[in-house]
Amino acid sequence: MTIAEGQDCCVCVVDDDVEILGSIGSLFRSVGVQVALFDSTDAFLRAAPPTMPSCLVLDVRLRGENGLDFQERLARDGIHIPVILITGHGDIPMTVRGMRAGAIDFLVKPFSDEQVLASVAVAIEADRTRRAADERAAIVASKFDSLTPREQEVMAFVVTGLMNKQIAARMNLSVITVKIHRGNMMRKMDAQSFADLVRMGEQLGVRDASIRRYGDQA
Amino acid sequence: MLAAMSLALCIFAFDALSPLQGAVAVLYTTVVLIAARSHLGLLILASGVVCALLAVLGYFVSHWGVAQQAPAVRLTVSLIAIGITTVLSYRNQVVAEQGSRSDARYRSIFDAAAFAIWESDWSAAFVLLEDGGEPNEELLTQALEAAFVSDANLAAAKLFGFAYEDELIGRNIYDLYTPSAVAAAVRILAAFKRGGHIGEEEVRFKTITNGSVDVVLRVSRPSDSGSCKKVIIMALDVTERNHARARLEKSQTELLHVSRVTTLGQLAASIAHEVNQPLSAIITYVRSGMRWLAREAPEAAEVSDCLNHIEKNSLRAIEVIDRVLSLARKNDGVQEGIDLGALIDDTLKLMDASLKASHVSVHVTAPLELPAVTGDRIQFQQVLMNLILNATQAMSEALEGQRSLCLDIEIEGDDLVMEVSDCGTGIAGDLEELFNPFFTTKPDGIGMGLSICRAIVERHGGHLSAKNNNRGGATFVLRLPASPAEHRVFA
Repeated sequence: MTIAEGQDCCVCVVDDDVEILGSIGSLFRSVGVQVALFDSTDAFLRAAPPTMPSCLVLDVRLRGENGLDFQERLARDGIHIPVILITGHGDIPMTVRGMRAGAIDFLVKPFSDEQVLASVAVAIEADRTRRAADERAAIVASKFDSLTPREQEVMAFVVTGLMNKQIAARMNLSVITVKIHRGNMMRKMDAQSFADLVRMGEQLGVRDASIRRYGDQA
Repeated sequence: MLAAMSLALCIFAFDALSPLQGAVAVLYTTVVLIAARSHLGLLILASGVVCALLAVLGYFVSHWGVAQQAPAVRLTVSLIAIGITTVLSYRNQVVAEQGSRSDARYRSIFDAAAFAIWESDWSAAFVLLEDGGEPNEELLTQALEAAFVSDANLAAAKLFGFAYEDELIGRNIYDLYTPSAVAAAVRILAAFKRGGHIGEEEVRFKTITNGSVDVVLRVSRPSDSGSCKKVIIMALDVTERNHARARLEKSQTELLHVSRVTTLGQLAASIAHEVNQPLSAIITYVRSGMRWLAREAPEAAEVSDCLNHIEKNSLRAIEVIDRVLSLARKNDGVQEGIDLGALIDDTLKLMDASLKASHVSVHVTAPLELPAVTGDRIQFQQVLMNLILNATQAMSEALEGQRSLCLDIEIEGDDLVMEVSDCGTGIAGDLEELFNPFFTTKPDGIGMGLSICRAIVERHGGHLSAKNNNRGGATFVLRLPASPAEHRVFA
């Protein structure tokens, strides 16, 4: 897998050795990939988060903060960016720790250009997939937010598989009213089918697992 | 007792009733002598008094009321004889009692002592010595083969691995002597011949359980009187002390090795990192430059930027290596005049325990007058230690008695030449390869020792080489310029 020239993506590099930083920058520019170079983790955090598919090439040996610690901090703070670790001496424990924390790859200096380009391509692809999924989830969430509280309640009951009659009984409404709420809800959620709605409900986590269609436990 | 009483009565009867005119009363002395055989001081005194009374009584019985001069004189003589006999017997008895008391004291000390004491009959050795024999191993072997243990305490028996003294007493223990013990006994005999009274040596004996014990021996010279020459040998068991010392030595050596390896490892890792950074940047810039050139519209500015950085990082790598070299030069150490002979003595003292533990005997030959060499004493000592340790390890396969290490120093023109020869397995393959860094023949070696040694020697204007001996083993030849050559240091 390689990165196509002009693809909308950005490679962030964090290394306190400006020469390493510059050489990686030059390499990515030579294949037409956008790079953002940072000589410290703080500089990376101060910069605006990338809006396009991106990845972070991170040196393990940094002045101030260890690269592995920084990688874990990003995960804790919910900053999702695929990480490729580079190190001067790739000893096993570090590799293991880095991979366990979800690094895409672990490159030992001096690395070959093909190696770093291939790893970055994998990382960018992973980020692209994640971003697309996040985007879809965000759209579903905004649709759910546009529902009235009654409609949200009805949706929660519908995705558990209750029939209109049962929902009406639970909500102290008539079956007719439930049907009206249900129709509005399906339209606003832009659900193509009942199965589609269930999938969205699953994504949003609105389903109450204690409610069953048969053998109520409520 | 009974005999003495009946004899006294007989004498009395004879003295009082017989018409014989003689000094019969003198015979009372035999009564006192018989009483003396009882070894009781009081009884001797009592018998003297009783005999004197009987003599007086006898005189009065036979010469009652008749004052005659001659019998009175005879009585006086008899009384004096009885008195003298009694006093002498009593004194003898007192002396004998003192003697036996001190004998008993000696015996109880001998038996109860926590350290081994045994008496050994070395008469044969002394006879040979008196016949003008020189104390040597041959003479002593003969003598020791004939010697036997005449007395020993329990500690001595236990020392050799016996359960009771009786098993050791009357036995010949030549089979328990190690070569070193025989050599020590020779030295002790030589000291006796020169007039010494006590010989002290640290030696090793075998035990009957095929083990060995290290002891400090003290041998007391036998008294000159009499033909029986028994020596009293005391031995203090220092096996445990020696083992502890050897263990300490071993752990110290290991620790030293570990700390050397770790500091070397850390140093190597940090140097590697420092050189790796610019090299890594160089490779990436080269690759990137090639990609810039391969583009449809090559970017001359970008390529020239890559080349600039390649140059910059190459200089950076060279700088790192220069720093490492100057660091090494800084550790050149002090330059002083070194007495090689004294240095060898000191080094051998330091390594004495480990050499003993490896059963290596060291032979040093050197001319009386040695010129000094100029350099760093510590570094020379490191070189020497390294060569001695290598030789020791090379001989670990050889038989214990045949592990000899020779240090021979000679003066050749303006140079001092020291040869360190072992009788180990010799060196297989290329002799020069030994001095290459990271070349090692040892399973746990790092292959830096000889390479560092050679570097040190060459920095001092000398030369270190190796050769195989004709009779087996290897020799390392260390050639150093003698002072006062002008001081040269080669980086």
